[in-house]
Amino acid sequence: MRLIEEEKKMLDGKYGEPVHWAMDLLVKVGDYFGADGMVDVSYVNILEIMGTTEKSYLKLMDHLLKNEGKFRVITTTDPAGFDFTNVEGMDIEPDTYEKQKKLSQGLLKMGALPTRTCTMYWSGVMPRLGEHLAISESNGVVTFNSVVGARTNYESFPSSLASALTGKTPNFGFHRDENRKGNVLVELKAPMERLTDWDALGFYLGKELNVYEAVPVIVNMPGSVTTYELKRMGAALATGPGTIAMYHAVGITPEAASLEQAFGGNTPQDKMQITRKELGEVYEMFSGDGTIDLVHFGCPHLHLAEIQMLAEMFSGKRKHPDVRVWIFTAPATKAIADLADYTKILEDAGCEFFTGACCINVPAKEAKKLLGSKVQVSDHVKHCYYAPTFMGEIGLKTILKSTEECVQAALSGKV
Amino acid sequence: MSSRFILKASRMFGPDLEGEALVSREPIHFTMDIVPETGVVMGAKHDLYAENITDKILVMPSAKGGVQSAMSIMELVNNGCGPKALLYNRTNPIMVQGAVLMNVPIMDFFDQNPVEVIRSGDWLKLRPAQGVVEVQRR
Repeated sequence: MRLIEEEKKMLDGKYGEPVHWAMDLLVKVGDYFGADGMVDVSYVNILEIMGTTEKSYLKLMDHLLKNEGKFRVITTTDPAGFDFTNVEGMDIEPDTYEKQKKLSQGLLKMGALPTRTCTMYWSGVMPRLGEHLAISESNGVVTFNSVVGARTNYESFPSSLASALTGKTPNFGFHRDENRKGNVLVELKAPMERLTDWDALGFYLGKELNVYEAVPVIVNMPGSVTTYELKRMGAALATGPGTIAMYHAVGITPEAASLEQAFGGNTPQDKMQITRKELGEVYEMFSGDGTIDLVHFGCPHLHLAEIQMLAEMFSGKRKHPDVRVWIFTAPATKAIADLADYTKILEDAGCEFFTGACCINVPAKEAKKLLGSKVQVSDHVKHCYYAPTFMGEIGLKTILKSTEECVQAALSGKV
Repeated sequence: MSSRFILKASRMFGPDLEGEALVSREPIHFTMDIVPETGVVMGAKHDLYAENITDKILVMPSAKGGVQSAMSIMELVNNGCGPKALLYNRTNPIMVQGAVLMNVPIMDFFDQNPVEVIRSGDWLKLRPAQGVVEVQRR
């Protein structure tokens, strides 16, 4: 790989150990993928959770902090493992609290902006078409590549740290024009009736097209589609078996004004049709009935419009006494929901807000205590897929239902 | 297939080494499918259920999972129960970032699908710099 003078200095350790560590990692990753050089990134998103890997996170952070690592570009954070403003709500133990605080303070010290959301595209960061980024959050990758037309690969904690420390990422994958062209044709024939249908669509496509290089081109998407519907589809494309980084929707997304532009001269390697039958298969994978313990909303974090919808549905009602209702959103979004009185309406109905946290990354000990052997219903497929096993097998069962059905379940205590 | 044959990869990283193959017919999610303290595959439905990946050369069809998987590779290695190397038919950047970080050899884009031609228990000699995997059937 060709490096410019400044990048060589970074690699040679002229800017200190953290930058050397970072450039070494980026060069090796770039060499693997045949990158011709580095590109400058203007913005990085980094993980702020540790999941089941806290020892490794803290070890890496210790190394970089000891050597006074500093971020060179705007760097936002993904959700933390719990809500710092509602520690009681998740029954967070002191040991867990201290470890999270150590990671969070370390990231702040290096210069991170604690947006603490997986929907960073709604928390004050909006890149432009063609801008290079390094995003560690799979739904963010899909949304930035597809809906915004900015350019990023899937980035892990170490590689996003490396990009934040250097302002660089290797030029391969979705940074390059040729890899952003569509290669699979998807004809949407199903009427999209409910918000969760977008989750089902993304999950089905991700499961069928399970390689990183697949770029589906969706035709017949309704022109009325919203960014929060696209958030759901994008997140589901990158959930579980899905490892998609980009799609085009003809007439909707910025690099797909026409079918010809979306494919850019490629011949489709595969053609698919999506009807209600395919969407139904996804609901069937996460089916169930009977008494429930929890209702979950917001994976990825809810948009203001989704909170507004819930406030309308819960207004003047009260949740079933045996059920907890959890709403996850960004701190910035919650601040506006507070001003709009949606927070009060939902809390009066018995709902609990968690901001800046991730329900599928509740630390293992607390997850076992809170969620073990419970039945949970959600209108987000990413949550339904990951929550039962992300912290180890805890006996949690998740059921996927529409938003309306989830609200009904919260009121009646069953599905 | 003869008792000794060679596979060629076009993307590769890491030092030369040899070890025993463990082949998974389905992708492995390093965060969800493996117990980080032991290296044992959990989830009764998984192709490798109850197998231990420690010190095995894992052979897999594709990458699975979101951006957290790189740290799961780091944690497994730090816990002394990491895989010896990772061979994929097709991988994604997250697995490469995790493997590079921990100096674990990783290879993909082979001339034949490794999941189809390598069997669990085969002895593999990896020369990543040359893109070569020598398979010895046992």
